[in-house]
Amino acid sequence: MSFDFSNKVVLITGGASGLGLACAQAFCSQGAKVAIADLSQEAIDKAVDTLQQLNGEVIGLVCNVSQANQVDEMVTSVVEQWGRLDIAVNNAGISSPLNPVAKTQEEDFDRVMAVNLKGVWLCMRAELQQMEKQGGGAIVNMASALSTRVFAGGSFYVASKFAVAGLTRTAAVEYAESGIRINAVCPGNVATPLVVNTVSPEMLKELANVHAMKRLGEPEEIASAVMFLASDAASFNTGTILPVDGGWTAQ
Amino acid sequence: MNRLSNKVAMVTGGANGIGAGIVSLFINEGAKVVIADNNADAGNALADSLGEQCQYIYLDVTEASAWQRAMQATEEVFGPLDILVQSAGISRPASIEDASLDDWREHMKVHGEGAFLGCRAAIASMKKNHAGSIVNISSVESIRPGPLFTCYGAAKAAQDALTKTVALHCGEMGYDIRCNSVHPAATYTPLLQQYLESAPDPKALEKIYAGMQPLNRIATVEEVANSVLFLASDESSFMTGHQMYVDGGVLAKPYPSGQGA
Repeated sequence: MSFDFSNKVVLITGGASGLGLACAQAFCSQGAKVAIADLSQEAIDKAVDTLQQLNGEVIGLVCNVSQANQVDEMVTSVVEQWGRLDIAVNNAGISSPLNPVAKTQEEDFDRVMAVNLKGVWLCMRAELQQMEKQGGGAIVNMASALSTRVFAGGSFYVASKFAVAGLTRTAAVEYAESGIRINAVCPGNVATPLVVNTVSPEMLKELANVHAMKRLGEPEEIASAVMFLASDAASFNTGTILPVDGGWTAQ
Repeated sequence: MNRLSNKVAMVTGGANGIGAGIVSLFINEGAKVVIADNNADAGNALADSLGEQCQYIYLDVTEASAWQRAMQATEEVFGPLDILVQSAGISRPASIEDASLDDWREHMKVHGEGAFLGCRAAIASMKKNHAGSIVNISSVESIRPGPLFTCYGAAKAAQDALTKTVALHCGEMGYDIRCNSVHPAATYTPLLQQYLESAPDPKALEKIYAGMQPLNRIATVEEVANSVLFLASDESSFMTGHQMYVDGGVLAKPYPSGQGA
């Protein structure tokens, strides 16, 4: 990957692990200044260490994306640090317990929606306010193959990711003439450390086989799509949801 | 820049317009590129201007034997194919009442049969290297055709279905061959420029074309080529069967109004 992000300021939520950390590594390796936001200071410190080994200019911010005041403070901190916000990757997300709709629980609904939907909305609101001020920017939301397909038992997660696609496209049309592009990446099943270390080999094979390519995605493959959409090479791409799913949703 | 170093690419319709932009970008990124086109003068001229890494080979995309010859010649010059970009196309806007059956058949032949023959020939060559990427140039008109894109919209939709079946087949077979499509909105090609200039009020028509996109402008050839490059390169190694819009947001908003859009 050879996009030049020298001096670009990038904010990545959920940046301390998994896809968020992979994105942070990718942006750092191309010269960006990267702020990673996550829930736990300990996880952030560890991730910042990793990123600094890539000679990255990095800061870590503790933020619960479902809390408006914390989200606003997060964006303020980035701007205080580097004066602007060029690229935001709204990646923080959680999964829901698997249950058919009749057996689902209200607290699970509230928890999943608070992070996956309200969190993305709050982040976009704060980021857009800053990007409007500076006259441009690019936002990439982490949606999912389950933004266009369903998975039985995962209704809350599916609904939250459908909503992220709708939010992405609406905001893209609203801000198209403000120099702000807004897109989403829709990963299939990805071999993040969490997945590889916690899922049984049989289940991993099942997860791989939903893709036409019959393998799991690599975190770097998601990161390169995020980087493409965030880069100037994608200057005419806005309001799109880009599957990186080995052909899952082509089926 | 070396995002395609040592890759062998063929670009159909590569002598002009979006195809020519893709050829130039691929050369800049280190690829060896065959311009496969039925316009020998333009194809040779472009190939000459880009140096030894670029070759022109005659191709009429609707002829099975021409594909065979072009692919054989490509392999002789550069080796087996890594990348095929199918950018050859025609477009004659006409409503269902004005389009002729010949219009319909010609669009279907170039976009439907052409893409079919191209994918088949490319897979045969790419299997020799056990990998490859096919990028079919489609259009926003295949997703949401305007009233004058009777033939073009239908032919591009046929091509889209082919893109997906090729992606799924290659996945099932365990080939590391990906197949995606790119869907530009209005793009500043010489053809579009000519069309705009031929209007009674070129500025007014250009404004209408630009206004269809939420970005309120027409795409440059380079912007379309950049997305093609991403899909052609290993950067998109987990993407297949996808329809990638380079549309300034037009497909994210409701149906645009007026003027045969």
